[in-house]
Amino acid sequence: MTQTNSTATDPGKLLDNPLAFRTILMGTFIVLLAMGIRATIGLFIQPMGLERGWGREVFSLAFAVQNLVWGFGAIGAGMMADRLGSGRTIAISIVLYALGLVGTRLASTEMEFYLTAGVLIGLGQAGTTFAVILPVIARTVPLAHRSTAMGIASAGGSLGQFLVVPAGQLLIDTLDWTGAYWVMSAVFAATLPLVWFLRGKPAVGSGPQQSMLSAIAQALRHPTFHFLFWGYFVCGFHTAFITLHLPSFVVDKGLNAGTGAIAIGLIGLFNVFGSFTAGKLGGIYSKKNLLAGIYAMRSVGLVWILLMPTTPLVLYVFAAWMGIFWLGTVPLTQGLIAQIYGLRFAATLSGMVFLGHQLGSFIGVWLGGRVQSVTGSYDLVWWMAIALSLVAAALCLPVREKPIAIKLPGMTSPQAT
Amino acid sequence: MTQHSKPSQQSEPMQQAQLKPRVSTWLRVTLGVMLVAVLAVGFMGYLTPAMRVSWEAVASMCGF
Repeated sequence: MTQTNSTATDPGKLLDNPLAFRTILMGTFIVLLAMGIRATIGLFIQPMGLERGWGREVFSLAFAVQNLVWGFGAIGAGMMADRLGSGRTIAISIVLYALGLVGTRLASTEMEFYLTAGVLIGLGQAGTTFAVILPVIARTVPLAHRSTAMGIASAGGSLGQFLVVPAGQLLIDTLDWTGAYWVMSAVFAATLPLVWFLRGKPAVGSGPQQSMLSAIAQALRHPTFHFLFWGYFVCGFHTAFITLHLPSFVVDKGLNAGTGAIAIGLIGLFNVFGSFTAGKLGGIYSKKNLLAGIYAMRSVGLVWILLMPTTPLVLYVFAAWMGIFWLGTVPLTQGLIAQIYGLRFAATLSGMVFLGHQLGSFIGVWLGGRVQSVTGSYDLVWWMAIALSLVAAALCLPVREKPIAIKLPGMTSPQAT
Repeated sequence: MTQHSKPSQQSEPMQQAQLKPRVSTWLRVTLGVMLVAVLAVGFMGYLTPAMRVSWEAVASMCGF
């Protein structure tokens, strides 16, 4: 596959820039499907579990494995994209994802299910979602539109989560769960040719170059990198805890299933607007301040649901509010990584920070269940989530948005970018 | 009172440059309308009986 460095410099209008427009469109479409198909796993618990004789715990474990593999795999996928090119990385990931879906359809034992739905799909996600796709978009789009473009791609992921779930339900209703898996794997595999438009490697200048290991070491020594990591950790904690434990919360408060379904739909719907707007605003205002604002605003929503009497309207307001601030963290966090550490190893560093998100998800899910089983209530975890919102907001404030001086081999002092 | 527009004295490339944003605007409006329609259809999907049954499983698998 031909490798190209395609850094556009002409600002112009985003829609009038064919290269940027095409890259955003293709990248967003792949993220949309990758995030959307992933979100449908819950739909298969009933039909597939019934046929295979598997309980909810089998699906939960497969999903936990998938999340962790996605988190660790994102680092490997990022390294591969930075070293060998994004095209190869995304192509391999699409194949793994599609094979994982086929394998999930064919899995007849629990172990096969963990290896396919957990490991293969997790690895596929690592190379077809934000950590790899957003840096490709970032290096193609003129700087003036970079944040907006990353917001569009993030909103695409949110849109996928929102749209593919009811579409998946429709597929299961019409084609049975087996047919739904065949269709989803075929559709995802069909995106393979789009990778051509996302190929290339970050631009490498002449003269001495910073190695990947040196870039990682430099980032790890930079406090801002840790602030972003732990901020993302809180993001993962919130999103995983809220979605996983929302059903029990809704039932405990005496609300019906229809109310819960609308709440989930509202989170998804407002998430689309929130992700896009965060990216758009990130091109105008300070990204770290916006990120701090998102985390702080989440605490308002969490206090609202805890203190207000739980009626359908209160739940809808909560869902819409949290939706606005759901994945808006993605374009801002990844935008900051590109802005501070440059584009050369943006995918690798994005993958490393994304691991924080996945670890936060894991802790959020586990802690929620643990606290509920010990105390009989989620209240403690809700309050922890509020405290973490404020901690994450505070962590964003000392973030230094200035590009770091890159440390080159043989140089005694770092070179300013 | 009817206003008559003056014949344009601008060169052709300049006229094309002025037309470009209009094309973008139309594209933007079309994409916006399509997005709203898709979002509306998507949201209606969450109101179906099947989704009312499945929403708990979707959420519990961190569907969002």
